Amino acid sequence: MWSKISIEQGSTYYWKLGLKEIYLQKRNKEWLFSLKDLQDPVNDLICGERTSPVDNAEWLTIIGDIGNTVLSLPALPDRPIVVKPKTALKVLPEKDVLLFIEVPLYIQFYSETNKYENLIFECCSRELSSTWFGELDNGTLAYSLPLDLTTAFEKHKHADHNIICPVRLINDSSMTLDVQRFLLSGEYLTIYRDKKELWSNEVKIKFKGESEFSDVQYVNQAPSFVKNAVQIANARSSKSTNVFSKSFHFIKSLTE
Amino acid sequence: MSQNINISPEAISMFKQIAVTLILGYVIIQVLVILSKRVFFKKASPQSKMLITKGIIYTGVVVVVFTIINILELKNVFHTMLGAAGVLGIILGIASQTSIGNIVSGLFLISEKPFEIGDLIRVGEKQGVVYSIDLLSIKLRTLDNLLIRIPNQTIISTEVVNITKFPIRRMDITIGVAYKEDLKKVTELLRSIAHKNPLCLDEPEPLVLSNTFNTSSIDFIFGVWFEKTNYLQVRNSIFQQITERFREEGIEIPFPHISVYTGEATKPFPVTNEDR
Repeated sequence: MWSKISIEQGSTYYWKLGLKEIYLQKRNKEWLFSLKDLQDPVNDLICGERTSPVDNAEWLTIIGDIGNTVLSLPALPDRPIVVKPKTALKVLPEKDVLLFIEVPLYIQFYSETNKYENLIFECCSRELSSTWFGELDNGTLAYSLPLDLTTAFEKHKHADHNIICPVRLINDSSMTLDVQRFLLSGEYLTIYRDKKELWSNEVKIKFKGESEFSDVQYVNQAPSFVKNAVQIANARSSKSTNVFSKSFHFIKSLTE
Repeated sequence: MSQNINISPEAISMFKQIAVTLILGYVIIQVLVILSKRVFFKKASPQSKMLITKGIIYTGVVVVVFTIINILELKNVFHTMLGAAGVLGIILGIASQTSIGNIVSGLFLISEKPFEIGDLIRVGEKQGVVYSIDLLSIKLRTLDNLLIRIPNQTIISTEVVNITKFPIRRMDITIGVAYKEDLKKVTELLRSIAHKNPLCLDEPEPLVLSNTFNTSSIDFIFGVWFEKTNYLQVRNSIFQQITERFREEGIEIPFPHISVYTGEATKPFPVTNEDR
């Protein structure tokens, strides 16, 4: 799946991931892409050559070079993610918790090599809804990800079209941390692969109080508990290992 | 019949100096503008770009004018003028009262910064994108591509609404439903429309408010949050989805109607439709 594919002139390849099916054709100097929404999610990643023509497809044409090789790579979303726990989660003072966040996978296609200027197409495995994180006059546009948060990795069934992002929430304050929403910036995360899953490096978010900036640390290696991890994709932005930012958001009542 | 015009060598020399000053002044101003674009403009806002460019041009023009006065040896005339400035000042003050008012208002506008170039604003009845902020006026480009000039003094003394100041906005739509409808069902349907529209933001949550008992309908206010750049797409898609979903669910959007009674409060006026 995550390798170079040589596509002959006129032939069509397809990728199925999550709720999307992507078609790719090579015609002279042009790459032609088409996207189709699937009714039911596909849990495994599937790719191959399509022999029958694609019906009713709207094609996006990208003019490139004459090379026939395309490289597909996984990526994290192009905006930060706001993780919204479906069930209440609280962390007591001076305690920490390791959460496994399943972030929907993006697939990127590069012409020949994985340089940014060679990126010809990318799309997410499913439609993500947009949300706003922060105050109305000062915040961040992000994707919303409502999740059942899990602290036990083995008990959970993972879909191939997700990247597992280990996030350690550290409550470094004297108050109980009520995790209502927190922000996860995927742009600084590298992607690794073990035998089955896709992983990102670990993120440590240190909560210091409601009005304080959180200390966000991106561990610069594969998670220690993932055996035989191989890096397969770089982070979107140049490496940032330590950032101070507003990472938690607490919902206020309008009458407050 | 022809007359020879005798121009003294001093005059020719003076003209040459003026020409050189004008050309050099023009070239230097242009070079400074280009240099400032390269040095400062990479991360500057359109507003800062305009201020820097105009600052360079106005300063350059003043320097060129004073250089020409110096060449023409009009210093004495100039000094005399300055001497008469008391009288002249009063005359000029009265004559240019409005202009000076506009210039001072312009300076307040620049320091207060209620809007910048590129912002969509509403001044009174007029709405448009700020096209330029000049010494005497601001210019708006309306959404149907007309140019409106509004004096700075008017802007200072009028209520200005900056529509695109913040990254997200809420669009409020008033929707009337028939009195027979289940209000809880309508509320849930509106929430689901906002939730399913990819252009609407999950948070802040959409506003669904049962607002008034109107003459023919119960009016809801439906407010969806969106990125400010998506206004047209959101408006079109939301209207389309509301009508489609209401039709699917059999929810009536009523038009104004009147029931006429023949005397009894509960029985309507009898109307029969007879086929001829």
